[in-house]
Amino acid sequence: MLRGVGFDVDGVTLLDGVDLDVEPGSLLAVVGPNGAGKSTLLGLLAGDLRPTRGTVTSAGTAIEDVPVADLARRRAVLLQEHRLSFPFSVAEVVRMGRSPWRGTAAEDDDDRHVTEAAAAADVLHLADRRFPTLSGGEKARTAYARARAQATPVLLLDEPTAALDIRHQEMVLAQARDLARAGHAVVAVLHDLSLAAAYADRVLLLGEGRARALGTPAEVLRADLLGEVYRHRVEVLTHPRTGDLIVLPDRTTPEDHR
Amino acid sequence: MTALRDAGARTASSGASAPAPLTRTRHRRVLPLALGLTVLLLVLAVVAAGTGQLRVPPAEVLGSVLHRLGLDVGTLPSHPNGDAALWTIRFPRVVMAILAGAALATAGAVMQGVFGNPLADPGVVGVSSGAALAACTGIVFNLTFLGAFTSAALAFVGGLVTTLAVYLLARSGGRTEVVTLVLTGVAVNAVAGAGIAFLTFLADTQAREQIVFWQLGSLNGTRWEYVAVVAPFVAVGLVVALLVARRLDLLALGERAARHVGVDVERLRIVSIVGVALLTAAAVAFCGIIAFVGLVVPHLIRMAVGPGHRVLVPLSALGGAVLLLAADLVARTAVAYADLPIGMLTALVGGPFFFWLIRRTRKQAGGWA
Repeated sequence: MLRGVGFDVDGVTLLDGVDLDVEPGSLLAVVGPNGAGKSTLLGLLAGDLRPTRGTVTSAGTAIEDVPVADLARRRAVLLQEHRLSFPFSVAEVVRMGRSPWRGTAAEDDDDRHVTEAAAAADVLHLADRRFPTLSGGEKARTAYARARAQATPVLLLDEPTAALDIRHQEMVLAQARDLARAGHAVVAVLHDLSLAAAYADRVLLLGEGRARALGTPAEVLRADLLGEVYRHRVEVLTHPRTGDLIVLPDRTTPEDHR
Repeated sequence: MTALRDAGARTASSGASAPAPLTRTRHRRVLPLALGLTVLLLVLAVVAAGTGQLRVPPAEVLGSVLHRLGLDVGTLPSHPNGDAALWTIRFPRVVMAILAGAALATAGAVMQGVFGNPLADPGVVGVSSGAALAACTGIVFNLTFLGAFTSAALAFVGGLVTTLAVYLLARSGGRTEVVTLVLTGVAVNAVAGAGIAFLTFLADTQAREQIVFWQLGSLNGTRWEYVAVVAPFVAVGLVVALLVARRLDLLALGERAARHVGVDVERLRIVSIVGVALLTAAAVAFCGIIAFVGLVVPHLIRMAVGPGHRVLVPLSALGGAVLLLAADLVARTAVAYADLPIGMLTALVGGPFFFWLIRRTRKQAGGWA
């Protein structure tokens, strides 16, 4: 979908030369330090931003030529910020995710999708609450439920676990993996490298606007590469029981020896 | 510890068991409110038409209306001039109050939706003054290129330009901060006020009187010809408002998220702004500046039935009609043999309400968000 993509703002290059295919059946984790271009990449994939260089295509069509209504039936997006100008209820917000399907045959399934998405995001018990009265994590889960209710083949998640407690973090990523197994293409920007290692099929490591590595967690999450990209030494351990990779900052080295 | 684990297990199981489906439910207060407002509007219209220096009892007002509709039932006004007073003075004024009230409240609701800010109002942000400035220009320079429609058309152009200006000036990063919006309104009102002052200075005595009338806002002297000009504006504006209502809900998610669920944000904005300008111009063209109706009415409706625009827009139109009709009744009966400016009345009530709203918004948003 992405070919040689670059994006500049006011002459500053935020992203350059990125090639990426978002594949059905795969959960791709996008990782990298602050300012590496992760959100920019997601904005390009979502069709929010026009690439300065290169092309972003969706099913063979340049993404800027796809009408917004069609695009909304192809991809759902969870943003980092969850705000709402007016005090809609949680149920109303989740139902907003169904609006792209209005007037199509899929509209008949609205109630089922809304209920399933709310249950999956564990906000069903909050259905009648007004959105502004929710906690940060509850807002994030409501927004996640809205994106899920959209039931699109592609799901783009920008830091879906940022505001969540440990149970809900695991819940959301396990669901993202299950959706990928069911044939969806899922892209998640993540900060927690151990979470990325545990759930992702592929990991894209961005550093200073460039793709530094793309491959399986074991290929990408190497101590030497991560240490260089993040400019902080890390240790990559293998969990003794599950065999999962665990990425930890190396806290034993003195600051000036990094 | 056990208790905690139990609680966790319960939530998990409640999520796993087949839940009752979340069906779309309409707020239970929508229907009673719509019916109540409609009845109130009809009763007020009959009472308002019968009230004045020449009193016509409600039964005779109804009789007169039915008679004109070709139904020979009910009693005609007993006073020799009763029928004439109703049809040449009272009814046009009542209809105008309904149209202007509906227009202003709907314009407010749409504007708040587009700006994503509950404090937007055609009067507060200066759209009314912009429309009045353009209409005044028509008066002072005796422009009549469109006949009776001239001042309405000018008001529309003025309103459109001002709405666009406020929109472009007050927005940043896809939303409008409260402070920016209110301060932009101050600036726009100042510029429009200066323009009107200059026109007042240029004008002859007759035009000067007309300009003063704009600034006060009044329904005095409404004729059927005016109603005929305003009605199409209001009708088109209301249709536009109803058409954009569903998408305004989605716009509450923010511009980016609205796009993600399939809203063509640019087109929605332009269509809404044209609608706001149409509605504001309709009210301003013959009634002058009547502030705060667009602020107060949608807010009360939202408190009663929630923020969904598909309900908010039609109920605001109804509520605005009721409010302005009642305000006009007070304006012309509160002081004997005097017709108070209605704009003064709405501002008298709306000003403190606006202040209360600012305090509340500030508290909720935790600062000037």
